[in-house]
Amino acid sequence: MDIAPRLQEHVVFHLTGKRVGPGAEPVEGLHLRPALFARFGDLTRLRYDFPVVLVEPGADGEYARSLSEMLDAALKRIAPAGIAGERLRRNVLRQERQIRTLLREGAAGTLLELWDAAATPLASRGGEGAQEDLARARSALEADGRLLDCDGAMPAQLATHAWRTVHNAKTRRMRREIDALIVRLSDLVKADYLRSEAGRHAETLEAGFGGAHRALFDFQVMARLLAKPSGGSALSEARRRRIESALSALRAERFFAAEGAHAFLFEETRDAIAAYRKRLPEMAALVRAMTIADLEVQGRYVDAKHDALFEAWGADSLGPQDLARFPDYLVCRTSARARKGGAAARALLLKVLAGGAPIRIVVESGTLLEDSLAGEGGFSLGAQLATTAMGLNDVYVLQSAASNLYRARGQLLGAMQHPGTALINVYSGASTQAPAVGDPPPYLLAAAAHESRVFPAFCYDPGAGPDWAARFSLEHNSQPGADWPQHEFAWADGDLQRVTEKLQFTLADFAACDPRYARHFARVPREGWNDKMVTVADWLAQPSNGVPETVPCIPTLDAENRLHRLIVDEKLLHAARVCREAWRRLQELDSLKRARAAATQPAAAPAAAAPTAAQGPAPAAAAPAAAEPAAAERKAGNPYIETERCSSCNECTNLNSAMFAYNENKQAYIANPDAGTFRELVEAAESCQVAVIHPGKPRNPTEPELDELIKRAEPFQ
Amino acid sequence: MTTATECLLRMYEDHHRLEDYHSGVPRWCNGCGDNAILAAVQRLCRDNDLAPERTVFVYGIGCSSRFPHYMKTYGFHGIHGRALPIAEGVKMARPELQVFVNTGDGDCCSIGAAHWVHAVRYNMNLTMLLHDNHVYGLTKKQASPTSPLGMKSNTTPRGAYLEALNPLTVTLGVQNVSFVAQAVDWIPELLYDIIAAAYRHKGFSFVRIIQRCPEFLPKMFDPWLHDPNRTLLLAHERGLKIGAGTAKLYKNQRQHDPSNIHAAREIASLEDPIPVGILYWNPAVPCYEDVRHAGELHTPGQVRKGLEAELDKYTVWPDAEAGEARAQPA
Repeated sequence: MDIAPRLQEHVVFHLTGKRVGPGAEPVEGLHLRPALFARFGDLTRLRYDFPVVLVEPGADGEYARSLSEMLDAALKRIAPAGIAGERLRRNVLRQERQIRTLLREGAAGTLLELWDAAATPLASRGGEGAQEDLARARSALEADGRLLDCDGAMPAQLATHAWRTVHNAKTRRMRREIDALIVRLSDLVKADYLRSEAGRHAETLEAGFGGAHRALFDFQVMARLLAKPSGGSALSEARRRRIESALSALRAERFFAAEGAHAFLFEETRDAIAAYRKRLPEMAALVRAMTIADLEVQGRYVDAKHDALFEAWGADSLGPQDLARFPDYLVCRTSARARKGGAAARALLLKVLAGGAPIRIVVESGTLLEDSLAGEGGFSLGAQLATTAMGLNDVYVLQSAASNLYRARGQLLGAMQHPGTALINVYSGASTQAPAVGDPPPYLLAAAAHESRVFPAFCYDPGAGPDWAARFSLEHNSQPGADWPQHEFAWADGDLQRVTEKLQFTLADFAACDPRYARHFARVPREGWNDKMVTVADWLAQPSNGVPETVPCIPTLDAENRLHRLIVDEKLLHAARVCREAWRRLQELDSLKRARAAATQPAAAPAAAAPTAAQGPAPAAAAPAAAEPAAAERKAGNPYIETERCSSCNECTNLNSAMFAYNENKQAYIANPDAGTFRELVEAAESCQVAVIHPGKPRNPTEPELDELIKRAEPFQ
Repeated sequence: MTTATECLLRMYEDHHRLEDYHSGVPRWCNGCGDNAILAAVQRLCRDNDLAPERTVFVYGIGCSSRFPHYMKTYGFHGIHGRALPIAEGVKMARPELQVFVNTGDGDCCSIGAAHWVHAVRYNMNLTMLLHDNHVYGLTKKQASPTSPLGMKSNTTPRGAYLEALNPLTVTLGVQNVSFVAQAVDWIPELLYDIIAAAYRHKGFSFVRIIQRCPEFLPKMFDPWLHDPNRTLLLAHERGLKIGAGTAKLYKNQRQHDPSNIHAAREIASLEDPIPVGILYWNPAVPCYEDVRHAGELHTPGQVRKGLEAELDKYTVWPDAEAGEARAQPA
């Protein structure tokens, strides 16, 4: 039991990837999976997010629901708690498993279709009451829709459904608006026709009558009678032409029409952009027609002012708000297509993203660990499309592995609702080549990519706030504060004793899922296990100098759940280092949020105190300022009226309209104190209903009976 | 409205002046409170730039109902007590018009009482101004439902026998009430603020304006005119905001939250001091015209389709065998 030579073999394998002895065995054909995926051996026996039901959005706005959630909700409603509902629950769960198996075998359809397909064998096999249980559960299902399992096509289908939800709502709104305008314009045309010569003609009047009572009326006389008050057509020729052309433009539009509408779903970015550019003049024409219609319907179209504007109307007259009312475009690029397109397609993609047109592009990444250009056999993490797009600042970027796409469905919907460009980068885990029998399920590969930070989930929403702290989110990653997510792993050793270890899910675990990277691993037989075999995370943490004394390993499980330990070679470890760096950069962006939150907390309290202090002195300053001019007036002895309190009762203005006048608010003031006598001032003061007239001192000392008047004026000063 | 339209309209807006809403010199008596209400409403139209051709004043019979003759907007002079049903019809047919109702204490609380109760229930988006001068003025001094006990008039020479009706408590007692306010015509700035708040409220806004009749009841409100403390101002950040000048003069104020209907009913029962302000305001009550709106456009084709479907239910198909159903035309 000599450790040293064995360690040498391990180290050699680690450094060179070559197996030189019995201590390092190949792993091809063993169908191994990482130890932390212990429970994920058979996905059909597991309850997780998938399959997903695509539903019509209801009051809660949800456009997709997980099958397990729906069944749980249904069971909560119909199954009594405790032992009484056990049979029902068990049958429904069996049904769920059967549906998953059917999907795995390749069946497709809506939830109810697959439910019925799964129920038939179960009803006959399952015990008594299985049939009625399943029927009850079926009727308790809240919604129906297409069922999607996590396979290669799922991301595109989910994104398309999300897009369609937003598109339908927009189309309905615009359709209602356009229909309302069409109805009002047609009413205008019709009313005008009825008032015109042709409309008042005897034959037209007769044709407008129902069948039975025509003989009762003399339509010639009726036409003559109507000729007098009508006064002819109300619409000028220019106006009529304008209304009719707007009407025909609205009727012939093809953006929101029920039939014959333009297509908005594309498979290639260049097709979408070409279509968008081609339709710009049409969009401008529609907005022009709608604006003219709106103005005409409100009767606010003024030829002199508006004609020139509409003459010069073109595609450049469309503002961003006008553009936002039109449907967006969706492009779904599969990874196979992307590979065919090559570098040129990618360049076009970035150009389109920077351009700001309302396009949502779903790009599927195929292989995550690409062959590195530097040196043979190494890996690079690829062009990092999503991170590059974030640098464009105005693009909504969502990156997610397919396994996380259900959790991120809110962000997916956000991408569809964002007014500018949106990029959705997904990794479906499905093989880009033709699927083979031994391939790992796409869900597992996608989940591995997500967990190991090779394809982390993040979202950049430019509309969420003014800075990175508000816009960037890493929320759906497990343990976003750590380099790699750490979990406990428990197994039983040879003596059936329980052993637990803490494992971190790294890039090496992701590579272990995929048989394509099998040659980068070497299996160590049970006898060769020693304590120089450390985890990848620990190995990366230690400083690298000179010949390594330990080797990085990962524990894996085979189909019978037996534990195997694999040595990982240097190429994968280098990739793991690069991946960790990329993840740390993303973490740094996310930490801005926490820094912002910490910074604003203590500052809030003093800020709240300051405004209240500022408000105190201000009103006190305003009131004396208002009192001053009034006091000045009073001191001078001039007659004045407290105009704000005047109730416009016409008493004083009817008395002397030169002395008392109304201001623009129809409240009285003294327009000319010398335009009347002191007697008039006193009489006005006495008859003023709200006593706001103050006669002041008499201006003409020669006026008769001044003493008596001054005494009468006393109470009003 | 499309955004392009908004920009264009804002560019070419003509602002109306107060004089644009004048139509003739009022024939009310000097000192009549109707003048104050007219001035306040004209100011409201000017400040909110209401298009005269899209504003309608509907009214009944009485001194108050001379009001719309002096407004240069559309109007409908209805028969006695029937202003409200006509206004409701206008609103249902043309929901985009601004509809105001001017009615008096006789027109509303006497002959029009039935319509009044249901108008509150319907909660259609109208603004109703009750010009309450406590007497039948146009017909030269008869007691009205709001005349105080003991008031002598042509029909009650020994004094009115009944306690006055309180329009505020009646309105607050009806389901679906959404806005109730009281103003007095001798505090014009508050009158304007209250009418403006009523206009802004989306629903049936009931404003009772206590108004003086200088001809038949010249001294009735003197005590309140001379003693500002007999007027209780209801202030609140969600209700009326009192300016500094008014607050200096009318010191009797109370903080009253307009969403509290029980406090509102209590305040409504006060006779002395007279409460002035917004008593109740609930923006969440749905409007009848919104609730009834089917969401479909009323095109002539639709109407024809509906009529034909209904009438086809009663059509007799003579050549069908007994028991055989004949296919309806699509």
